[in-house]
Amino acid sequence: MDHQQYKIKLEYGVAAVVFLVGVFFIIQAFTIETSRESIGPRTLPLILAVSLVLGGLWLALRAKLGKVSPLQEGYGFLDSDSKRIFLVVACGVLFVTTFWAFGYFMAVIVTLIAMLYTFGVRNWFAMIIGAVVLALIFQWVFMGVMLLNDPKGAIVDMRPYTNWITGAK
Amino acid sequence: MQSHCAGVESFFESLGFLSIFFDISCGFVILFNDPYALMFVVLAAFVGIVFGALPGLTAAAAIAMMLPILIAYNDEIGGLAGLAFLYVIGKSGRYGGSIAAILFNTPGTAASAATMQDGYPMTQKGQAGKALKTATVSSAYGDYFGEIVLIFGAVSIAAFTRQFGPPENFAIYLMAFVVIGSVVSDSIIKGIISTLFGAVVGLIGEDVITGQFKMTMGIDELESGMALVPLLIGVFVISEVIIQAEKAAKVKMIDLAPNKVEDPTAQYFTWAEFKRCIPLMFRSSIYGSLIGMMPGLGSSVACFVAYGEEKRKAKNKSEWGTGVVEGIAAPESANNAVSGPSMIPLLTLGIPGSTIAAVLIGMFLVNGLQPGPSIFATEPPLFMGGQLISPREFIFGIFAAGLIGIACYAIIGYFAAPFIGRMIAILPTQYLYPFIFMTALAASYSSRASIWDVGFALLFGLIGYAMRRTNFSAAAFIIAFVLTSSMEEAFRQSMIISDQGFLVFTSFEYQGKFSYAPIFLIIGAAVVLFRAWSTYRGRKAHGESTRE
Repeated sequence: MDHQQYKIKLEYGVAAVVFLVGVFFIIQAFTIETSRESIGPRTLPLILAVSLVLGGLWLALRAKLGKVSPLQEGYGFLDSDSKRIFLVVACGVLFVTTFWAFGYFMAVIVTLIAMLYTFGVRNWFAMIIGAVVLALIFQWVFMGVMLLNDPKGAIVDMRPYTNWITGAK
Repeated sequence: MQSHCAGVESFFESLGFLSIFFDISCGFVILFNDPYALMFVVLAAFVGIVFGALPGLTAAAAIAMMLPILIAYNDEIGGLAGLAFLYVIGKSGRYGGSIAAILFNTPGTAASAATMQDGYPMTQKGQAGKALKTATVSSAYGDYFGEIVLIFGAVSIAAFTRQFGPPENFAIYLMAFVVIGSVVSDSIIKGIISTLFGAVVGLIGEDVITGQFKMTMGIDELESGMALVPLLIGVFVISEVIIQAEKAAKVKMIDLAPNKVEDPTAQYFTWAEFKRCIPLMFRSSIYGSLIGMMPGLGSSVACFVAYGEEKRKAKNKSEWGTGVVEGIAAPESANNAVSGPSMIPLLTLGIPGSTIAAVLIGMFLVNGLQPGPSIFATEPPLFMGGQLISPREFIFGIFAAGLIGIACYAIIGYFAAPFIGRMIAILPTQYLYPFIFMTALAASYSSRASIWDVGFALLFGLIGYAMRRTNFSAAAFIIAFVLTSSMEEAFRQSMIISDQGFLVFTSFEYQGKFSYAPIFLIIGAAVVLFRAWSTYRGRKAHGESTRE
């Protein structure tokens, strides 16, 4: 497949995504309860969502007519590294999951180690020490100084072991 | 405690336009009476340079990560400190981008892309010091020029826009959406789709008129709407971390060792060179200021316009691109001259002209100020940093912070830019980006202490990555997100008080007085048509040249 063919295919994909996002928000707009007045809380969301659908159709039409500019460097996903993208997102999901299960302190440690691994660091000593130090700093700054909510983990409550950092009782 | 400027106001008010000089001196008094604000100005100058110089990271990324902390500490440090910090970081971040452009041949920000063309060749010739000093002096020159345009322009325009009613406000928002959408991206349709997407996401949450919840998808956290911080972090920080994870490569810095410098004067931007560049910097600052006033067009456009125009006019145009100081002075003056005037639409119409201006709206609202022409009012007084000041004095305090901030980043940059560049070059990216990722997640959580916001940041990180890869505009998305609720309010208010239906926006009369709404709609339509026409002509010319 040559580059121009790839770009046309990609534009079809983009058009489909825009179209579907528009349809999703049209459905969402219809969940808004509205009164008898012609202009209500549903009006603007509906106008914008329909415009998104029309935008998607316009992009598809341009792709069908072959009216796409030449493929530029960095455009599209040809040179994307899907494994690394997946790993970064997985690290984010790991943070959310660990936060839910074990609380903030453990989430920072585990996620930082995973991220360092994703970026190619293999010095386990540096990874663990770095993660613990950062977790201590974050715990102190965000929970101790900024007094953010430090919810207990659903599986293990680590707060009795981290309260000395924040000064909480 | 009463304002330090009270008492002598009446004398200066009698001077008319010259009263701006009184206002700005008042701004300096307020700033110098607020030690936190002064400290944050200096800090912002440094942080902005570092973030701007880090390839891929921008001032917007720095702001996204620091915004929750600034909001949390707003009462302790005072509103002026937080806003001054964000305002100055935007300026120093633009300048910081030139360090990466000159030393690494990688633009730290899109605004410094044109600077690479002569900056990097100078580094290769062993004149990195001269190139950095030229960038510093011309950036400060452009920034001061833009700041003066902002101070005089905003006050004058606000006096006119203060009389606008809801139909005019809606027409302005609609015009801004269309103009920003059409100019911000290479593709008009994709720019407009980015704006529509940002707008529809901005409508999630409580209705501005009835208070009912809209499009929350059954998620309680969305009842108060999507928070700005996770969105910013996703679109600007996490998407960048994904890109850096893909690259996973280090940028190499050119060796600045003294033995590579054969000419001893090569490390200075000489007085003769400065004098030679003054007319060029002046013209470039005008281009930058004019571009900055237009919502959506930013520093990245200004730097190329100035570079192209000045190269076309230059006597030594064949030398441009080989490492001449003029090739740095022109784009750097222009891209920094954008900074001040990009605040004019925000302060006179309530429309952010850039991502940073969009974020500033949030900080203004936290401090009880609605961005728009009423921000120059003298009532009601605000209590900030232990001082009782009017909104007008507060705004001039921010302008004063901007003027001081420029001096700060110029001094830091003039003496420390090579050192900062050297430090960034040795920073191991495999440690840096995981740290940035963790800070981004922590900042997302801290915006509302909700784990949902971390999830939203991740989601918008992926969306931001896909948008970057397919030419959609993250800036248009954010600006539209911030503006939508105000636009909806103006729209619904217009419809409630009007008995003409949608015609209220096309009528030149509203409640017995002249309405500017149709004029704004015509301007919006004209800009889109002009953009479409110029794109069509460009494509046609490209097609013809390809055939030849």
